[in-house]
Amino acid sequence: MTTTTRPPAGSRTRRSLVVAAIVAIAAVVATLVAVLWPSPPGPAVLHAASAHYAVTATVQNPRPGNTSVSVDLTDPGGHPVSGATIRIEPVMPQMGHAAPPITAVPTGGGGYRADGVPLLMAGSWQLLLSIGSSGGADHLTLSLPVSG
Amino acid sequence: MTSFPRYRALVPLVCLAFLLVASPAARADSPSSGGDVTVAQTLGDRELTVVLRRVTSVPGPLHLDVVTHAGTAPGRLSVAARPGDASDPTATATIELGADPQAYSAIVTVDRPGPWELSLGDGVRTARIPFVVPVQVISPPERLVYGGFLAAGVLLLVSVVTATRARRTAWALLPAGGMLAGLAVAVTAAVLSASLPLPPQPGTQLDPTVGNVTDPYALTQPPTGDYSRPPVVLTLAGAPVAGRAGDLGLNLTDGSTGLAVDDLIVHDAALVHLLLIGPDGELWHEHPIRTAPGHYELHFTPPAPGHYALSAELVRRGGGVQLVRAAAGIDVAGAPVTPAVPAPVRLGDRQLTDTATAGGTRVTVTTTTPPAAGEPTTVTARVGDTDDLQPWLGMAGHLIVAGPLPTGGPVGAAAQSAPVWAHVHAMGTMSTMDASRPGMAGLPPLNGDSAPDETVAGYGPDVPFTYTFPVPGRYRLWIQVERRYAVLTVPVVLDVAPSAQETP
Repeated sequence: MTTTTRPPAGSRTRRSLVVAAIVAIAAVVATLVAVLWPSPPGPAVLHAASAHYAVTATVQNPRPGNTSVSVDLTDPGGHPVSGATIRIEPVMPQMGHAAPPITAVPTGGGGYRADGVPLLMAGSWQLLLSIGSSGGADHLTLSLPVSG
Repeated sequence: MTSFPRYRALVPLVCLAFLLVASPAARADSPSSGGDVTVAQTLGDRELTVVLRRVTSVPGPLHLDVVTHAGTAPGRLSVAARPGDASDPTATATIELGADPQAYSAIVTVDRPGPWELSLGDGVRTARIPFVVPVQVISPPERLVYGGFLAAGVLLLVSVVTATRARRTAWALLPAGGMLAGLAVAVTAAVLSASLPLPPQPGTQLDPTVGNVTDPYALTQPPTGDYSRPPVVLTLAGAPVAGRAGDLGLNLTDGSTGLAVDDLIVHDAALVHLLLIGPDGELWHEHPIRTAPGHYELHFTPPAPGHYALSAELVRRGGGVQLVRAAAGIDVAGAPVTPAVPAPVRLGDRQLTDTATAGGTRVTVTTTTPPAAGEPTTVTARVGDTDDLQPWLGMAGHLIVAGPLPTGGPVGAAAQSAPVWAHVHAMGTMSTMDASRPGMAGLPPLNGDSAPDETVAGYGPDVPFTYTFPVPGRYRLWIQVERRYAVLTVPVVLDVAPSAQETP
């Protein structure tokens, strides 16, 4: 012989409370995972300036391998400099690595672009920029951390 | 239960007190905020010590002290500070150097963290000193400590309110458990943070950028324990002529890539310590100015023609002191002259003490035991009678060693091929390590304090150096100390006997 008893009204509320709590905790965990999940580094933007030029370089893929580098060249007053020759040489001082320089191609409006700049390994790299134009010749060094 | 309402009024007060104690402090104790940077510079004919005081806020003032020495010509220096990502200086100042040797000050404003360059011009030459403006950084463990205590404080409040308001007191266990977790996180982080390694330091280990100075904890590259870089190759430029002032150029290139080396860090209060040994046994210990990346210059008037041996002591970013000897030295042309060179102090097997006068100060040099190869030899200079020596380049004294040398002939040419060159430091004696004079103890500074600068005259009069001569023979030694803002150089000729023990 079995007796069935109706669950008390308070039990249903408690169950819905537990479900709500579980959903809330799951939402918090999901948010934390989404925020803390490691993401690959985006393009690295580097700045440097010398007496003749100011440079903003964007390294598309700062990871081991070949990457393209875009350079925005201005004079100290901030005006774009077109018609310059820019050679980019990647160097890793700690390991004593140096790669052949790559000449950047002008893209117009003071912009230049070099493709296939080799970054052999992860670590602290430097991009040496040799710049020549009617405004004078100059060398600039940009520091580039390359993550593994 | 009847007495509970009486205590209920206290609850908010207790919670408020807890929150005040546990809430994040407004200031952060960061270990990487840096100390004073001292850079000796031979600018033209002036030997200057430039002290960049610690920058405590950005934007904020950078206090500069330029210490002159006896005989430094009065005049005006122009000062300019330029951030690494700007073409032009953002702050300028002038310093009027007086005739008295002392510290002359200026203030420039630095408006951003990261790499900077300080220009110091005398109207003819400009020294460009790289430096890093640090920023106060909160480390991840500090964040955990602050966050943990904050969470614990808030949850304490929540648990008290829950315990008093909720129908079931047991619900208060949830926030109370959270509070305990917050406390555990905060205490663990606080206890362990002291033993965590520092992140790679921009400036001394990494090339400084605005990014790694503002966030040194960002893991942008694989961690490594070795930041050292290849050796430096030193080439010289210039054709000095005896009796004529000229500029000697030093080009530093990388031993692996051949590129200009522009990552020297300040070591023993200079970027480059240049040691020159002249034909008549003179020593110059100068500090060339950086005029361009990888290029240093020394304004120098050789007194006599002949061969000068030269070496540079420097440190690249990543560490490791290098003593780079110029492979060929320099040959100075000109008509033969015999400059007035003070007679050296002579020490050896039979003579353990001798006296000389340098810059009007009586100096007695003593060795404790007859010097023998392979045995630690202590050479002690007693300079004057009182403890009024000033620290020069952060040390109570310097001893430069070159040898073994032949007994006759020009010293410069012999030093060029001498197997041993050494630079020994003296920190002072135990008697100067007096607890009643904190900061003058000759001990390295702790907790980011900065060592006493040249304006503190509290060392000596005994300055001991201990060095183990590797091979027997006749050595040239030069003892250098600073007294009354003048660097005194005492030349010594020391005979080192062969080792008493059988060499294996």
